[in-house]
Amino acid sequence: MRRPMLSRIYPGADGYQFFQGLSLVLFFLVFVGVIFMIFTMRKSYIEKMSHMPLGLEDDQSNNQGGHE
Amino acid sequence: MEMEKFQYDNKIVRMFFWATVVWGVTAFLVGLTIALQLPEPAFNFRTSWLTFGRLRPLHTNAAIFAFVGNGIFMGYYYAAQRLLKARNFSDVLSKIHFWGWQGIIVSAALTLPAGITTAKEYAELEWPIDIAIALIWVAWGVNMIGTILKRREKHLYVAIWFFIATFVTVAMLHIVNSFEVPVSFWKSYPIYAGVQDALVQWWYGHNAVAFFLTTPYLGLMYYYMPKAAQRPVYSYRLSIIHFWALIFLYIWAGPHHLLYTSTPDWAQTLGTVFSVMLIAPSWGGMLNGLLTLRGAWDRVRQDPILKFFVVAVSAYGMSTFEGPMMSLKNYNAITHFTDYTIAHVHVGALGWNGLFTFGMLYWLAPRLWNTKLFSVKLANVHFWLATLGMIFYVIPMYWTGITQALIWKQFTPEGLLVYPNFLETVLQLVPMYWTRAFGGTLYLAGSLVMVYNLVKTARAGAPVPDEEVEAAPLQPITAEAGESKHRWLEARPIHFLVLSLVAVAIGGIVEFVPMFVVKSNIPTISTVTPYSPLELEGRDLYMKEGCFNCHSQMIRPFRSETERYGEYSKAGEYVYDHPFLWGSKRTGPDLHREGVGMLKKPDAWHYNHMDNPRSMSPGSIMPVYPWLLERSNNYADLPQKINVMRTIGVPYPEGYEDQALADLKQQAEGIVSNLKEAGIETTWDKEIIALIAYLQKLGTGILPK
Repeated sequence: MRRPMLSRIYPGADGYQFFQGLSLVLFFLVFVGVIFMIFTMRKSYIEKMSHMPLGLEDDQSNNQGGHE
Repeated sequence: MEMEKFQYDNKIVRMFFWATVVWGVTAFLVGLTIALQLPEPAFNFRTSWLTFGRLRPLHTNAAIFAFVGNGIFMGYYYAAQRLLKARNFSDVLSKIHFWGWQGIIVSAALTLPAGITTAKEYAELEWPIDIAIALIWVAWGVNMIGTILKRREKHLYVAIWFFIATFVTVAMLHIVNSFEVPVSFWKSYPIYAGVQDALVQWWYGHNAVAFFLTTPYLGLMYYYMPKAAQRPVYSYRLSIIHFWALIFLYIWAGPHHLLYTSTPDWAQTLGTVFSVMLIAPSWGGMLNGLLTLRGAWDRVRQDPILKFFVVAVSAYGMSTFEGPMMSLKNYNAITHFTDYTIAHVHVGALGWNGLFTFGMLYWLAPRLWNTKLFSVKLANVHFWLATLGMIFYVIPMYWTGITQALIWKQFTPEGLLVYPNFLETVLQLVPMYWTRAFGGTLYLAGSLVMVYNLVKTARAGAPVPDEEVEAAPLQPITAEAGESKHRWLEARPIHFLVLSLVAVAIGGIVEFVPMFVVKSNIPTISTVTPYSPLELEGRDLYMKEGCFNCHSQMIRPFRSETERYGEYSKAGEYVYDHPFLWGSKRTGPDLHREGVGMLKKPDAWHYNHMDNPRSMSPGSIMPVYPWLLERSNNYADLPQKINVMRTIGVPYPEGYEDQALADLKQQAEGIVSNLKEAGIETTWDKEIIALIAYLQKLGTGILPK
């Protein structure tokens, strides 16, 4: 039978399947946490941030692409 | 609220603007020169410093660090000041950054053709230049963090996160991969050897692509795409996931450059798994960029800037789909060591970085000189020349890559190789190499059209060195009720920087620690011995001439490779290789068994072959190396080389440095007398003698000479 990957990297890890489970759970929780955080953000804030590059003060020369 | 008046520094943007243009044309020109040398090696004009092995690192360094590097800084200095509503922290630091970076590029342009190299891809520059890179990089970082701290905008926009991650990660990669012990001012050996060196190098190499060619350009995409399209970013939520997922996953993917090599399987598997996962954030980012154009697609037909951006982001999507595919072992068995990889990187470099940079240059020029672009028509001409150039470049290279893979692996019904002579496989590719050079010519021509257009634009306008603006000062930052965690984080740049560093450090630590501390990863082989002094000097010449750019030293465990080259390569064979020289491309055959078995050749064969490869292998596309037969070496550095090697773990006995020269001379005289028997008169101190000794050593660790 093939041994779990961690045990093949580090033979002393045989009794430590706990850490493999823990890392999987941690990864999953972080992933779920980020998704939760993203979808609970305020809409007004999202709107403000998505428009940030379009600030007008540096765009006096906008549309100077020079269409001939 | 009372507004504060201040000025944006446009002068530094203009300086990086012209540096991007000049180094871009230089990188393309060097690229075309070496592209011509592939079908016709006479284009090296029998000159050492114009030969492929020395110019190829110059081309890659010029494209990555000079062209794209200056492009990053140009785009950053314009965008960051406006996104942070603040002038750069220090004009002096901006200037030190600019002139320091150009100084590093010039020193690269002088040392690489001279053969001064560490032989580690994209990290070829020697230790004094490595130190300069670290210092100048920190100057940029301090300037960036200083600007962020004195900003007038509370929240950091996504582009700024990508710049922060670029700064911390490249600093970490560069420092860890540059641990080397100097022999002299222009020579050092890395502290890592063999498999460990390979893992560190490709952790660096892969993430040079990730954090130099990708993350800063994604930051620029998130600023310049909305600007050019006059549309807000498609999804700010997606950009948050894009950022964190990308920087966390990217750092693990390095070992996919080492599939089927002597690197332990577990490291290869980690590289594959994380590379496949990378599709998600990469395509999320690409779609976020392209969908920013929603409602503005009609303008893509008229506006060359948007054309450049759309094709650039599409090229990013193509190469980030292809990268994970190439990380699967079955696919990698076909693409690795072939021109397929060259096609892949050029979709990224010519398409993503090149076209995006051109778009930024055309967008910035009218704003920096307060005028209109001289000619939109010429910009359109440039767009088509660049796009067609890219197509004429990459399609023949995909074709040659697949051809190489298939004919290397082709067997007769009796089980023999159909093309046992490697040269036969090379000759099939020559027409494609000419087509690739044609594509490169188109791309270069397009860039010259751009130079004319930009110079005319600058001449027609007047530069605006300092742009007057006003904004409200930043109020003290306090946590707001109901504020989300990420919003909180975006107001705290130092927390942000530390979290980014943690995210990128995890992958490296998980891969490096077991590789360095668990001995069973590299099984010892008792017959593998350190290089003799003459072989060590020969190995240094092998690096100096850049032989590893075309020859691998890694026989993969495929029957097609063991039939052609002999026993597959073992991790324990490389324990004295500071640095490892596995190579990443086989324009010529693998050399790991060059000194043993069916591949072993007489000393005289090597002598004549280096003088004129076509005299021994008619039709060969290897360059001539007549200077190796003429140049003498006084081996003054030899004792110091032995000392340094001992310091980094090679078991030369104490005091051996005093005896090394005598041993070297004795071994060299043996080769001289072999050559004399074949009618060749030469002396022991010629460079060719050391190179022959090294080539004859290859493979002898596990097989009898």
